[in-house]
Amino acid sequence: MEKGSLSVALWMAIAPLKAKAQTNDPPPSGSCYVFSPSSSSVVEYSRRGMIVWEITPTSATDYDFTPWGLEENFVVIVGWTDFMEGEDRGEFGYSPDGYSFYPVNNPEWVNAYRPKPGFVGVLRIAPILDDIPIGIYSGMPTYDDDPVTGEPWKMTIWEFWITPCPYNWRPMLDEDLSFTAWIEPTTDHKGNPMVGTIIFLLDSSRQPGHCLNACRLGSEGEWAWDGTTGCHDDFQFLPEQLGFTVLPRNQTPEGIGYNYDTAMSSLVTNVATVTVRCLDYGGWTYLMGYVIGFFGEGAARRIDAPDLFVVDIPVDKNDNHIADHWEDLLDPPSRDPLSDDDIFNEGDGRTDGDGLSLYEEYRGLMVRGVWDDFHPWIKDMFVMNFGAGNENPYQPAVIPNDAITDAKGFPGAGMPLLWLLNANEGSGYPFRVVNFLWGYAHRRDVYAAIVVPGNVDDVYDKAYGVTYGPIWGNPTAPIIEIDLENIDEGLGSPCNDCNQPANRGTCWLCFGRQQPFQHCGHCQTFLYCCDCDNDHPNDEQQCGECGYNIHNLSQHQVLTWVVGHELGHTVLWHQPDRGHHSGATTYDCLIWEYGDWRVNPPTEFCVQNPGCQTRWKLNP
Amino acid sequence: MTKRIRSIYWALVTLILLTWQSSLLLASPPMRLESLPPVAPKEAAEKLKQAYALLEQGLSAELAYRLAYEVYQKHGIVRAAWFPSWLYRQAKKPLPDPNDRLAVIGSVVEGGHGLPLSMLRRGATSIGLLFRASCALGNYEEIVKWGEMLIQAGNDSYSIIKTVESARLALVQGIKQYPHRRNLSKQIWRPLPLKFREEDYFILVPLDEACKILGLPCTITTNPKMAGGKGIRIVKPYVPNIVYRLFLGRPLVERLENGKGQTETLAYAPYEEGGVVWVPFYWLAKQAGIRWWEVRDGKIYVAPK
Repeated sequence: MEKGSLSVALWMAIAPLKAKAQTNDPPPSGSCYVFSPSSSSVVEYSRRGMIVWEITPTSATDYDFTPWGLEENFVVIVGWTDFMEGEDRGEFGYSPDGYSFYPVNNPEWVNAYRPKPGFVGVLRIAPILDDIPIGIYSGMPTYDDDPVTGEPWKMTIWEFWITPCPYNWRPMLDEDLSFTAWIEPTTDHKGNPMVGTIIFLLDSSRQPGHCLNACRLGSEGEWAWDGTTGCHDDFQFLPEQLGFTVLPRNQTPEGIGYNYDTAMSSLVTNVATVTVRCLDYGGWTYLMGYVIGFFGEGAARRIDAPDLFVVDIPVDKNDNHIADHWEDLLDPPSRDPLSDDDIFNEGDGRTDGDGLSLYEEYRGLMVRGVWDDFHPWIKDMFVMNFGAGNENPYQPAVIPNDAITDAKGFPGAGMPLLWLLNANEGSGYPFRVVNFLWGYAHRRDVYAAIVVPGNVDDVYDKAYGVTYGPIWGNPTAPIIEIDLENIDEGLGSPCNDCNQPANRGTCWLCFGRQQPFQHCGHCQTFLYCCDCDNDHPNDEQQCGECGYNIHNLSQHQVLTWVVGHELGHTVLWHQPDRGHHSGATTYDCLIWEYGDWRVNPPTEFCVQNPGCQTRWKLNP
Repeated sequence: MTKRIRSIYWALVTLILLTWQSSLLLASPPMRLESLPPVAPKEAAEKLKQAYALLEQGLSAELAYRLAYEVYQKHGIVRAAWFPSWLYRQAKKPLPDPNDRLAVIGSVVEGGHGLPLSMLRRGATSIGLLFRASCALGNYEEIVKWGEMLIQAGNDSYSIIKTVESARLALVQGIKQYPHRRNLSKQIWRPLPLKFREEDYFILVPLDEACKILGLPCTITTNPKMAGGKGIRIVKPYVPNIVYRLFLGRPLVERLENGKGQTETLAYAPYEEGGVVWVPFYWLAKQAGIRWWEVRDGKIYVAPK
């Protein structure tokens, strides 16, 4: 209905009634409309926070008796009301464009209403009218009617909300998060339910794999929507959700959908809860809710931050794609995702870091089948054991994992933290990269030391182990070859055959140790220290005591010692002699180069003289 | 007089130990791939391989020395590496060059052949074998000679250093030869009625037959849950709580004592061919308590336990 025709109609309807009014006859109540500036249609729904603009009062007239008879008075707007009290009361004023708002003193200038920011619900606004008690034609005074409130314009102020991501949540593979979006109020000013089609949209990261060193290609070897290859979104909607139609962005040639980034409510509704699945430990995504209804459309507003229309998953205020909760908890030296500032243990004091960026420490990797993240203050180092044997089919360990993880081996005090990985938890050769599924914020490839059983006699005869290069991989890869045969030869076997070279060697050793009588009781001279021909009742027993391994060290002890020593080379490679050193502490340092079968093998790297604990590094 | 000799002796010991300490050579040396000894020519490599097999099996150290010395005289310090022959016959795809250490380890790391190639790969140097043969022969002068050469080349494992050190002490005392006791009359050796094959200079015997003849309780069963596809158990005679498990294609022995296992190594991996499981005789003989053995006239002869 147009303004002009309405005012004429009102006047015609009211005039007969007013003819009889003699005293305190309030002017016929006017009203107002809210028009859309663009279409000149009335507006009945407005988004919360928007200015109700283009309020246009209708015309109003008043008739009172003057000495000349019934005469028309002027009616003016003396105020406006939203029928609310106290803090809920909105504000009337002037807006030139629907965004700027200026309070005005003159109610006649009002063309806009600014609701209180939190107001949602049915809005009623109306002008307050009063007459000017002077006849228009005679100029004679008339009765001064009381002000009257016009007929209110009713409309619905609505809002569309969405829940945020919990602060203390960080991405975890296959974890689901639910988000609810809802429309307020539930019914409009006409009593109709406020419902619409609610759509959720995801804009996800696509990091390769689901952490730095693992990738799930599919369920049971088949392609699956929740595979974690590089082409998969790190966050997707669960494809099957009650009340939703979930749509993939892509599909395989076979027609299997993936990257489910759109979820749409199947029916119009007032509230919808959608489930998002995390498929990457370092993933991030932006979730948006959108509603399309008879009342309008728009993106959902965060209930925790009404100025925001996007839910960042995880909570990440500094936008570095690392969950704030993780950062706050560990308080890294820097929050730059590319930083590599691990400080502990100090090592050579000049080379911070371990090669993994802050983001990569956060994203983590699989450690013997279990995902782990890494402390951004602590330098981490990785090792893989290719002599650990198999369970199925069974093959015994040549180098038991215990020999690598034993507290008496590497790393010991003051050294980097060592993580033993499974063989498939790295990629490449001879540089076995542990962060091979890198994406965002990658500094460099980080290598695992490779421990492999082998035979080194064609290079270093009788050596127990050989190291090929430093952990940082330049110029050669950190490969460690362990020769169990040579170790076992050193361990010796029961002394039942003097003509076995190893046994004879052990007899010589007794002599070399200046302990021929203590350890080789039957040794009258070193020539006969391993007399096993049973021509003496104590022969076998004496011979058994007479070996390199006079303290009866176990194979495990020696392997722990040797592997620890070789791992030491990988972090001391830049030092003279690749870490081997002399000095007062040499003998008690794991880098001491001789497996001398002492009763208490070294279990730590030295603190001083020269102090291997302050000589190592992990970064080039 | 005795007192004087003793004082000279300990002075020498001290001197040698000090010299050794100050030299600080490497027992677990960093690999210097760029300065490895040259690879021996084919015919020389074959001799080194034979010498290696002789020493590993406790057979003729004299022949082993002679073979290695021939190589040394002609080619100097050279190295050789090889895989067992059966591996070439059974491999489903080409094997890496055994002299290419990184390629061999790479095969293990990347799981290319499903076998521990780095352990199946055997290698030696001319002087390493000369040193080992000298030790087996108990010749102290040779031990010192080749040992020092090894040490100078960076092969300074503890056992080499201590062996050289002990040999030096023996020489100081005027003793040149470790006394051998293998003077048993050949007449008391007896032949074993056991067929065998020689491969890569190792004497290999069919496990089931050998067990019967040597009196070793053995079982061989098909077991896909065991590496190599066979469950092979050998019980130590008279020590029933000690059981050995062998694995086809792996130079490994798992020694189970009261159920607790420890892995030991074999110089030659058992393998199966034509339904027969072949194992190195030297290892079986050791388990059977045979002190000495040798091959003569196409037969294996053993000395009494």
